[in-house]
Amino acid sequence: MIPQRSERTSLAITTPLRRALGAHTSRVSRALAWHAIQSVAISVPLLVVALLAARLVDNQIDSEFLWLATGTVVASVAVALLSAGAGNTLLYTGAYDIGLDLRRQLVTSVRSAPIGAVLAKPRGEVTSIIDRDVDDIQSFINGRLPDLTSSLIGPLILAVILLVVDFVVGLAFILGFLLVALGYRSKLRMQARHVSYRSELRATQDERVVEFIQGIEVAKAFGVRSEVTSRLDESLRTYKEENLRSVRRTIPISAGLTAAASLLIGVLMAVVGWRYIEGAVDAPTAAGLLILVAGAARASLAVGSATGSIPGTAASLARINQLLDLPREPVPSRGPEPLRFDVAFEDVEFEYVPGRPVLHGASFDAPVRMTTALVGQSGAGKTTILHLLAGLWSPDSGRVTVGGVDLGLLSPDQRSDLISIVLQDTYLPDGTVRDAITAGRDFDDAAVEAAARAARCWEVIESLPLGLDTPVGEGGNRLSGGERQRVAIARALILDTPIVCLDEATAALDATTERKLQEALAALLRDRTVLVVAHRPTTIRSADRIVVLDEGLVAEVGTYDELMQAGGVFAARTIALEESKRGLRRSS
Amino acid sequence: MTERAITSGTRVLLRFTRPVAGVLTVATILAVVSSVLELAPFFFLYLAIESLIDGSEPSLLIWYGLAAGGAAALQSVTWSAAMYVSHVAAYEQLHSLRVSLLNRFTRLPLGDVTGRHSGDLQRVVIDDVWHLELFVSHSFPEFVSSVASWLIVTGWLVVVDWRMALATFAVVAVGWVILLVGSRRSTYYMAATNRAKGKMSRRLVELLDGLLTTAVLDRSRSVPKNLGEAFDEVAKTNSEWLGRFTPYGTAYLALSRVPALLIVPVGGFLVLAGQAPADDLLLFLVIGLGYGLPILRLRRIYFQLNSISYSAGVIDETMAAATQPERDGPAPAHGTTITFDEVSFGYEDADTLRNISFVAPSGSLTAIVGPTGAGKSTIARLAARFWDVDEGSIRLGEVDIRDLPLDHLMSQVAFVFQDTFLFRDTVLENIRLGHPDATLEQVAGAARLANIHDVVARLSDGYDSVIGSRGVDLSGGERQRIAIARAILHDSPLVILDEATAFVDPDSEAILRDALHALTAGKTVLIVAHRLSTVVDADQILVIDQGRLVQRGTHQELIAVEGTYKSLWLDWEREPIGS
Repeated sequence: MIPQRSERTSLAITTPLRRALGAHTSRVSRALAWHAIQSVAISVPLLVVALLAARLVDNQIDSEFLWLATGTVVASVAVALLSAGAGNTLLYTGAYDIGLDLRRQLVTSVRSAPIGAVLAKPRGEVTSIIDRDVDDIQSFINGRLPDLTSSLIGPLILAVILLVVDFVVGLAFILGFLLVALGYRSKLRMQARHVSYRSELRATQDERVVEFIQGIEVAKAFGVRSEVTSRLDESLRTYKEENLRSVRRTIPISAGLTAAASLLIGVLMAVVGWRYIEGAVDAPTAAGLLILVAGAARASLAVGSATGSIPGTAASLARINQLLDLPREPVPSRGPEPLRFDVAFEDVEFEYVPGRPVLHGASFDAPVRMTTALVGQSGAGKTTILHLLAGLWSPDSGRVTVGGVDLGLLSPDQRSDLISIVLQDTYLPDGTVRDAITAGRDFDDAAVEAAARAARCWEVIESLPLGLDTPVGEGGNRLSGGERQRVAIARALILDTPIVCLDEATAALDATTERKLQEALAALLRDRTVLVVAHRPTTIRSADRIVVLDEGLVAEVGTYDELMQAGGVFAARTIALEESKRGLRRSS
Repeated sequence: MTERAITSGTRVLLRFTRPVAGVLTVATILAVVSSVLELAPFFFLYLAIESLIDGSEPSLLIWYGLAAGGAAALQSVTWSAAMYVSHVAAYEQLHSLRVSLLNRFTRLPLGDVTGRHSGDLQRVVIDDVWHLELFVSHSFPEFVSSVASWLIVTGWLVVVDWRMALATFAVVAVGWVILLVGSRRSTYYMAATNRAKGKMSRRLVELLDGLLTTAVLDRSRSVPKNLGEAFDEVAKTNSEWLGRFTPYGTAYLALSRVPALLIVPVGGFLVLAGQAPADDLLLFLVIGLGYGLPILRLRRIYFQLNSISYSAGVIDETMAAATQPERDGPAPAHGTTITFDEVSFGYEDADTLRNISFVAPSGSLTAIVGPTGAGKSTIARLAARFWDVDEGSIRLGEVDIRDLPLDHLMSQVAFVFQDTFLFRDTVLENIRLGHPDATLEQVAGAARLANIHDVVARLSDGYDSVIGSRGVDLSGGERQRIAIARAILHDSPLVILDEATAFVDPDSEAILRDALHALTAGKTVLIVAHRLSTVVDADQILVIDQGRLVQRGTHQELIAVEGTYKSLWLDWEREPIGS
């Protein structure tokens, strides 16, 4: 599929850039002031060359002038060097501090936003903003801003000098410069459109390639390598043609505009010639002017290259600001303390994406000291119930309550004192094993050890090089999935929350690992309000209550025997499953 | 990257660009013409001032002006033409390089293309190949034309007056020496920066991947410690690099902007002493205005070439990776019994399988069981030449599978793996991969047998619905049944199954089982079983532990003796949760 040509391009950069600079604005301004000085200094040699040319025409050079000229050139280069050095040093340290601040702000903004708002964005987009777009801003500040400054200051100084030497030539230059700038502006707009179109093309093309690599297994396994390869070849060829068409469309226009801008040097030289013919300037002045207009014309063309990166940077800034402007989720303050620990869903309606409701008025309760199993097909709403209990989202209507108190009224601390959640795939926050178990709270070693033993992970912890003080590694990857899960169980045990929500593993572990996990769970689930998203027949059978979910509604509630006797959805499914469990060769 | 590596990288680059050499040459010639024309306005400027010295006809000034403007315009037109032609070459080369890389990937051992390696391969075809596009479209023509025009101008200046030429060149040469000194340790810094950035992007991906699971346990809003450290490290390595380079880079830039630095005194005193005509000094002063242009370009290209030749090296390495030997020609006759004969296999030094021998008779069902990581899946994959065995042999009937043309072998085997890959294409085409000539009726027939027809019929465009597009998100179980339909359509005598580890909900479980039953009936089946309930009626069970075949027999035989199978079975039978 070929992407639609995108029309939205903006070259606005000043305001969003100032926002990105934040506290570092004054450092960047100082740096640019140094670069302005540098631009002035670097124009001086041109002036000296112009004077020298004038004297050559006049045949008036002497050693005194030559020494003075040399001294001036050397001094101006020295000033240029020092001021550029000062400016660059401020800029590169500034650029990386700005990048660092932006990245931190972006991550904080992502973590403070309602989780649904973040998940609604493609995941690659968020990482690429924090990674590449910030890089782009850094190199803009570091590399492009000084060029932009000198591309504006250079022509300005020359305009002043030209006006002083000959008013008409000066005016001609200013007029010419404005025309060139206008030309570049429209070239930039057109390029911005095509560049973003081509980068969309590139993205879709890359997608095809990734798909192909992932599909090699299938293509090879079914002996259709050449079919799949030629199909990819064909689709890549279309992209090539499309790219070339875009190049064909832009190049003549940009060639025309640049060629017109390049005429400036000739026009200005002709104006000088005309002034000389008119007798408005004498020969030495004309020679000096010729050198100056050549330099001025060159400086004007530099505007083109210096502004070339503006469209890309403007787009990066827009994406960064969009992410910084994500809504913030309010943090409720401490609410009433629940006196009982039963959990109830009352007419809960919820949708992740507008128009695609997941729960349509689900009601059930999970009494204290009982295990309530949530069962249903995938998509029935089981995981959504866990998400609502964890407070990741709030119900669109209806209530989720603990002991009659609406969960939405409780502060995050209150919630974590009440509810532990053990997921299939457990993430451990950065820190040591001890931190992971105690959730950063104060518990003595004996308590930690007792919890770890009960959760069947003490053996593993003891075998780690630093025991409890071993860092868990990034996301806990120093431990296996099963070990992480048991660490999470240990945490739930030590925090001793009255309510436990468990997402039972769907993956079949090998039987020995499985047994350890079951023993750990047995310790955790005793005497609490337990909600388990159940996948396994044995878990379902042993639950005190079973809540059967079907398409976002509670279809049935009861014990296993009650439900089997009732002969509803649950009974039908269970029987079907038993039927099918006889292995692949049931007939043989 | 060292200087030497850059030059060898450049050789590789030139080899890669050979297919588009003709077009690229045209682009480069245009670019050279354009670079030379870049100096033409300055030459007319010189003529204009000289005419002032000579006191020639004043109207000449206007003509020189127009000539200078014309030359400048012509320069920019030839440059655009060069860029157009170079982009044609670049897209052409990008396309052919990608296709040949991807073709090559299909000949690598399958095990090397899947799993964690697929990420590396993707980076090569995507990022590194794009770097080469940059080389052809910009770096190469710019590099050659900058060097050429610089040589031409320098040669001309030497002919006019070698002393002033030396004075002009000296400034630039000092600039280059400074630049080279400044970038001496840039390889080290580049590597450090890349490392830091790699770590940062990994941790960012982790943060986003784990967003949901993390948020359940940790609602803090601050930057996670390890991510913050990665941010700091990126800023630090970047600053160190630039901190070192900035003084040199600044000096280089200032010097190449002012070639007049030495011309003023050297040329001035030569003229004063009568050693050189004033005209010549004038020429140097004027040409000096444009002398630095190609050199400033060279600096940018120099840094580009560093990363481009690195990419070229990576592509070269990937192209050189060992492909799997393939036999051509007609397939010898063979049966449908699978025999493993003393098979040993290790992957990246690890000893994965040792001396595995068994026979799976034609039409039988063989189940492979064992603890996680025992090597079960490797056995199944070796039977389909994902890799070739290190020792021993695998035979189909009496023929070693390495003696069968690969496409023929694949026509004898149907696979269903845990993670089902579906192309972003119609349901029809995805199923039809199993048998490219199949009619819609045949496809629908296979889909019925795989219990997926009803689901497909409900989709808005039926069999023409594009998988993965809006509204066509299939569940894991449904995707798997599409894969089963594909395998049914493939209709091969051998079936290899890697049973899904996930428990699906009871309904889907039953449907899936029926689909598998349709697929495996009457075939020689190898199944990697994760749930022991699957294997009770297998014709034989192979128990694998730590890469060795430890037990073999039927379920009844194996539970009658003490051993790995019996203990696995007892653990399996134990009641989970609560009771």
